[in-house]
Amino acid sequence: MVHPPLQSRSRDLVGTSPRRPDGLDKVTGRALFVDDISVPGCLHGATIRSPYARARIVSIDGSAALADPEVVFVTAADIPGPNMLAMIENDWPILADKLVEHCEEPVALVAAPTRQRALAAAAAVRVVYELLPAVLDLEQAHELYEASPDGDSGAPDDESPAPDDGALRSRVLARCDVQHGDAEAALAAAPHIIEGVYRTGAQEHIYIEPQGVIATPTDEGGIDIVGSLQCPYYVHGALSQVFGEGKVRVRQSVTGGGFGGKEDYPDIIAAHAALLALASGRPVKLIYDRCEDLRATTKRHPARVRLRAGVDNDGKLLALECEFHIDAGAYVTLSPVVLSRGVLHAAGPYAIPNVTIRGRALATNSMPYGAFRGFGAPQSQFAMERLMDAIGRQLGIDPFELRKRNAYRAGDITPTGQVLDESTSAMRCLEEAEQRTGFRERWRQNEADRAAAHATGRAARGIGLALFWHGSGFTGNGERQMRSPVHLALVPGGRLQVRVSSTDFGQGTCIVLGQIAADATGLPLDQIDVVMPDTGICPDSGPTVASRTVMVVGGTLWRAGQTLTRRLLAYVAEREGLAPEAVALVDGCFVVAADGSDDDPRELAGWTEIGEAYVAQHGELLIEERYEPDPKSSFDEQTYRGDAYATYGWGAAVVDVDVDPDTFITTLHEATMVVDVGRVIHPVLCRGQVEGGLLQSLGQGLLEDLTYRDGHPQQDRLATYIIPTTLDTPAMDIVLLENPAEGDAFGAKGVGELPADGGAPALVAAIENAAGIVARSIPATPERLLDALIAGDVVGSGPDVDTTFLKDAADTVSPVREASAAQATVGESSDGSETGYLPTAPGAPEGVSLDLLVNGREVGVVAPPMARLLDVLREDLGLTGTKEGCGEGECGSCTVLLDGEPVCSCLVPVVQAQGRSVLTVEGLECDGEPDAFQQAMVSEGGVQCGACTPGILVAARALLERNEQPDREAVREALAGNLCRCTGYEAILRAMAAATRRDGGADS
Amino acid sequence: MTTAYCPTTLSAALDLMAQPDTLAVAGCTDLMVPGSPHDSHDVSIVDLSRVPELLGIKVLDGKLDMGAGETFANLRRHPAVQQHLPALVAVAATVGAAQIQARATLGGNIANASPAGDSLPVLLALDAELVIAGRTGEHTLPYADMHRSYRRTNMRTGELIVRVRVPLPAENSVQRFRKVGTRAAQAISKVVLAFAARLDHGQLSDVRFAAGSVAGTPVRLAATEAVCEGARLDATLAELAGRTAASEVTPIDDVRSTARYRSFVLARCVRRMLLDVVSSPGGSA
Repeated sequence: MVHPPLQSRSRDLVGTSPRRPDGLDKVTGRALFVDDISVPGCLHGATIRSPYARARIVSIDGSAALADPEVVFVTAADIPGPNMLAMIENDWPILADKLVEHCEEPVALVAAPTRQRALAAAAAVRVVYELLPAVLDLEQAHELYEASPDGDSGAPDDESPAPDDGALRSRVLARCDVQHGDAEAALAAAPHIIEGVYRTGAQEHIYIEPQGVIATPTDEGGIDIVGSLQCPYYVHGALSQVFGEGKVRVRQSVTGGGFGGKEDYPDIIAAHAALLALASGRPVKLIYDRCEDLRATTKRHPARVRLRAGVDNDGKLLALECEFHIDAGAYVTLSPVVLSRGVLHAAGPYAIPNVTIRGRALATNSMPYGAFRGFGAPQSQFAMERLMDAIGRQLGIDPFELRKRNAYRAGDITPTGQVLDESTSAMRCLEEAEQRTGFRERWRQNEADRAAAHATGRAARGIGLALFWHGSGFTGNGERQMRSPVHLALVPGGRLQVRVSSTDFGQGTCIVLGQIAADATGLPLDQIDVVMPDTGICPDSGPTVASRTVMVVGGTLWRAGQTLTRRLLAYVAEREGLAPEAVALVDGCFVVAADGSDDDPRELAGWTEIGEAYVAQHGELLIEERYEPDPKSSFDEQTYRGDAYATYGWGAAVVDVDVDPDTFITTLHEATMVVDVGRVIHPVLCRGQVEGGLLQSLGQGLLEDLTYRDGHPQQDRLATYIIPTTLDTPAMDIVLLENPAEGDAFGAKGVGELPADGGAPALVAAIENAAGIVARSIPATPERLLDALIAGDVVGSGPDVDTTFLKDAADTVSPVREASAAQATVGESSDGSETGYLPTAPGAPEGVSLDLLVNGREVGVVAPPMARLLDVLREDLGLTGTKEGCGEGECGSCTVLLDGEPVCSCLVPVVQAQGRSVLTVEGLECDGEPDAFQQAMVSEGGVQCGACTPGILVAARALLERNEQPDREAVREALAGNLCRCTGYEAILRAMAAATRRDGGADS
Repeated sequence: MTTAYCPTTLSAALDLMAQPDTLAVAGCTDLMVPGSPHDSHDVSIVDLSRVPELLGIKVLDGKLDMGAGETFANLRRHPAVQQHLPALVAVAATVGAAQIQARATLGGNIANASPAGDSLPVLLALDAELVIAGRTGEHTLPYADMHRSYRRTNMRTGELIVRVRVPLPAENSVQRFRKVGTRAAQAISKVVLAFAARLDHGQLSDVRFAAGSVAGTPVRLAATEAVCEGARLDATLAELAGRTAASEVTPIDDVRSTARYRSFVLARCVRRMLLDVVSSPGGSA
């Protein structure tokens, strides 16, 4: 611990795993996500979107929609303030006005008393467009950029929105260069040059709860927002610019996952809902379904990385040149900071004396790409790790040895000139991973066995290694400039409130911040409330991004707790007529400090008693502390020299796979990840962060393909955008190392993003070790591996697989799309019907009378016969514990038991449930007590955001009714229809193991 | 409002189906997906989930006789299916995950007529026949004659699939199934392949190969079968059969895979199935 505590207790909470306070509500269905909140009299919003990637808006006609007298219709003309969302640049329109710059760009809004009527109204809006040519992807943007790169034209790149003259031109939305030493000269002198171009695709967050907000007009002419979001003050800032300072209040509802996806996009949804609420004078719910969420919201930036390294005969890196291009999409949004983080991590955790990195965020006519866990670093580090493997192959050095020779040690200097301190753990992580897995020997064995494995036709085994780092907190001077405040308040009842804008969307900061406050003050956890972020109550302690919450906000909270404790000690001393140093706080009790005798210290009063007394006498005690940056560190934003981050997390990943020789399907067996997170505050949740981030990275590396046709994402459903299920997930071995950082947060570094850097490169390296096919772009789908094989991207002679019989094998594989036709055409779109948002079930108010046995209770409902059982449960019966994650039976969030069988209630017409028994999450408790699995899900960390949890619990109940002691494989199979995006499934499997142990699942 | 009928006898269901603009539904796992081809509000729904004649699994006259309304969960669990049709058990385990298997029915998979329907190549390879009922009576239809074109079948309006019958495998028969999907579970197929044959002293006969997701309907691989029929099973034949399979289909690029990959994988899996039979003729599906 960095600071000595002002109080002492027999057991510190930091380093232990108390149950998260929201856990019980999440396993019983009581937690209210935004769509679960009942708002009497509210309207439902719907968005009219552009079907074209780039077009001039000729006219917008809402008259047909307004045929429904209760419909409210809003266009850009109705916006009271500037039609812009304040982000880094002020260029993101709330509603397209004259031009649309990407497919699915919002053009107009409607609201109506029911969702069905809103969708019908949206479909009736006529928008006439004049089509303009568009830049459809990064490859095309890159070609345009190459044709007129920086400076060549003698003029700076045009950074203003393209004029609508129909011409395509390169637009650079952000640039970031790092220069260290003289890479050009060092490359010219280097004995070996190894180079490559690597690509990573767009990745969608797939938080299981889609985005949504509720906007309510206030009596004072303001607007109240409650929603599923990461950054209440981003929404507050964006809306204040439009609706006026002091008019906006933003609260977070229980949020079902974010991963960066709810960092910026809630600004636009909140602005839309607010416009509709002000236009109608009524509350408006604007909830996206999965399809709309997949089509419209931000994703991870696609990247194209060209690397060129100079290496000596021993494999020591002498120089690196990197061109890092990312697809920014149509507007600037967060791209400059994503670009910057990508650039700052691009050389990997390796000491290289000469480095040149040129980062460019290129504009395309795609939806703006945004924040996603890792924020540019996974893209650039994937490329660097692939290059390291290429270097090793060329020089005959194994992947472990090559990394060992180049990995950062304390005292090494980064490309920005930062001198790394003693908390540098690259070597420790690497060696621990080797020791844990025997990587080196297995890698060599696989290399030797590959030919024989191919000959037998059996799946070949492969193992891959990646080494990575991740800067904690904001880049450069971000934290220094913000000096974000936290509030800790002593309130009536002697309780403490932690008031920060840091949101919990699954990670568990609601308990972690409580632990820190408890250790700083000596108060028991159950006397501390981490309040739901609310801009009306909580200060702007910064956005919940960049793995900064524990390190920055938590560290500041620790100091606030110290200050508050000091104030109470003084208060007690004064009350008792003692000298301040005569009072101490021991195990939550104020005592007369031990005087050296053997007598027990004399108790004065308990914490709560003192707290109550203080508040009674003086009122609420509010402590504000601000983040104190290290005065020794500095960063120059102009030259990009200095201390880029306060500290770094470090990691090594080893992934063990086999690759089927007939299908090129990769099966993941085991993934090991060793991370140095500085200090583990809550071991269960910390492990959960690593497991969840690792699985997202493995998904990015293997499965998650997002391609576009004419600017539309083709994978716009969970049936086609493929994330890992339990059966796609390897066994995970997570090692948490603690090499503390400077600072107030017990030495903690960020953990949220770090694991997202390591899975994909280790996985692709393992595929190479197994199959001998070199994947330079991810996801490494079987189709891409086949293409790589045909293109000759192989190790040695490659696998002995005949492809000559394929009719098209001679074709070159080109990811470049043809530019769209240059001539303008006029198109007309009626949104909705074309874009498929129409509901399946008709919305007629009448229905048939049905009798159901729901959670053991007979209920009668009147509903259309083909209404979804899901809607009847949620809307007619108020059982909102059952969640809608996709609406098409892919995610399992809406799982209920129908006559004992697990079913997706979104796919069951309610008429088929007539007379049958339905069990929902609300019916799982027995005599008001959660069952053993519900309890274990909380204690083992199987619950994070809680959106998939009800479906998991119900599906597990079906399993347990057939098999009281299922083994791991049985659980994996039974839960394969339930997607979870937070946990990586491991904690869920641990929870089941704990709940079904023969001792009855006693708490661990 | 859509009207839904819930008949409790087959004859009542057939009477309802005789009315215009009716749609029979069972597990609804495709129907209820937004944007499904049946996503129309202008039809009356006839819910078959309460019709007892569509249930039951038994051995009858040398055939395994399965109700069209049986779910894949039931097929997986049933001892007679496990004993006689391991390939059908294998395919049932790959239809969605538990939630879909608990609802989706064998008859629904057939009538829905998706080229990616998981069970369809197995039924083709196992030489299934369908018992089809209309108001005028029942008739049997070889399953091989069922699919006419993309999502179109040779059933007449008002008819229902009542039973699915599969001959019990003869002695010395082999059957294999493989689904190549988008992931390890809850996956839609990129290619589905099923194989059944007799193997006597190393010689193949009664060879049936069937594939899904490589054409507008599930298809038998006639040229591949011809190459194998009566041939001696060895590695050379496996290579030839694989190449033949790739040459006789023309799959497409779509959101799930590429034509090139589908051709490749079909060839490789045909080859592999034959090689596996060489090394382990008694092996499971």
